Amino acid sequence: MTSAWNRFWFRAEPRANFIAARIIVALTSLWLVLSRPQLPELLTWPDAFWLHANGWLRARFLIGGLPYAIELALYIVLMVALLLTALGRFTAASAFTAAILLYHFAAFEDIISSSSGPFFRGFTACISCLFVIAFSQHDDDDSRWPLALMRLLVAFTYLLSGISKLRLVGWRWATAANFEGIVAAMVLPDVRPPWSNWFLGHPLLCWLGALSGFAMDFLFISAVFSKRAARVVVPLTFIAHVVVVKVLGVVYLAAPLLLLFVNWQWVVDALRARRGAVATASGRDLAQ
Amino acid sequence: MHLDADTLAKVRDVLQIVRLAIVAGFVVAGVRVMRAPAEKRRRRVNELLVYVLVAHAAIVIAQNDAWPFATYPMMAVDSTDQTAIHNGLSFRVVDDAGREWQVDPLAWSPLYPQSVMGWFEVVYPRATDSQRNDVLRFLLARAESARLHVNRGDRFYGNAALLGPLAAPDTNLYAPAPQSPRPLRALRMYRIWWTPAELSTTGTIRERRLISEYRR
Repeated sequence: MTSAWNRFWFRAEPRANFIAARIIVALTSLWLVLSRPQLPELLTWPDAFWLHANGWLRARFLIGGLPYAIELALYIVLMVALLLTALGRFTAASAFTAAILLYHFAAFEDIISSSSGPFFRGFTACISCLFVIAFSQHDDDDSRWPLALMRLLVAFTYLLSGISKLRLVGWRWATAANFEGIVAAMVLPDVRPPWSNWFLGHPLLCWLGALSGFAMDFLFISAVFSKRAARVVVPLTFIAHVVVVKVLGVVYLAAPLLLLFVNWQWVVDALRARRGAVATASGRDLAQ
Repeated sequence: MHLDADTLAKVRDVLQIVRLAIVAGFVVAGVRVMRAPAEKRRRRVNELLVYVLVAHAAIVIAQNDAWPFATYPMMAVDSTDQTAIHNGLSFRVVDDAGREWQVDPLAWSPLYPQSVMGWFEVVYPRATDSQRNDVLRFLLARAESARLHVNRGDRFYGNAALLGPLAAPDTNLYAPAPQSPRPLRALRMYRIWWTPAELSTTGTIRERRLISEYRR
């Protein structure tokens, strides 16, 4: 057990994969933040918008009545911190600052209307991963625990979603009738996902959708433990997210984090080998 | 155990701090790794890893989040009964010719319409008339501003102000909403009732009732 634990968390990992993970997490977070440039402005909206966010809820997300100008300045600090993290400058401090500020700001949109938390804005795994990047920056060895932990946190997105389905609905979630019902329920008075008609009234496709959804939730975790599984599960999951946008009208904003499962060292080596082959060939041409 | 509404509200409030404490525990465990001397680093990392696993196990068992440790109950619903009556809110703006239009999805940036609907579902019923008017006036002004952007062909406004078409969308898809060429005069909020079976096949809704209207 101990040796399996140590092998999983502490075996060596190529450096390129750590660097790529840092860049992927920081740029995904930055993309989401730049896509909500006016988030601090919510503090200037009519007071009624904040009626639901009582002192306890505000305290949880470190919303302490700072003036708008300071919150705006902190939001700019967040953007700069994410950029520095992506560039690998002052990484421990910048990733830690970004994680704390993202935890604070990511909640703005959701606590106005709900006390459950901002699950679905794409920030969830980003924040945890930014913390992991900060925590691991003083490691001078190449043990893989930071990357393995980030991958595990992304995989939990799927596994825990599957467990929620099992606990709240049970096995009948994965039936054609339920999947068709979900597709039908996502057809709203003002919005009709473009591919919903392909599934409505087509039980075989609905069975495929239901079983694929369940499989994605429960099999994705295998990508954390097996490179071979990752090569199959990760691309299929990406395709599933694209299909979900078209069929259910739901966008999984943290999808770029699937890139954490790519073996970037292999990509770097392949590019180097190709460049080397080109250089050798052109050298041979010159010699002739 | 049955708790009255006040006690339940207090329990919910205290739970917010418990959730913060769980996140704080994660941060403390991580900072201990950052500050660990070399000989203690492996042990501190192990403590952090165990903490993350235990925290996730706890939220799974409790089916209660401590965000960013989350249970992701996305689509975790029994939707087999397509004849069940659903209801939701729908907003319309009215131009000075009296014609209704959909609100531009970026009008209420940084919120998307789904979040604004959440506010109306949860908070609006207990807001005072004055607060309701403040909110509706504000939203109408924002809708008018978005109308001008759309009609100018502007692609860089609201949530798309910096990245334009490359900006991340909302989690929910929205249909394109053409805007009136005329100034807006009113914001209407309707409650709509439908069944998924009818709406998805014939596009019909059972009932649409005006809940609120703000005119300027």
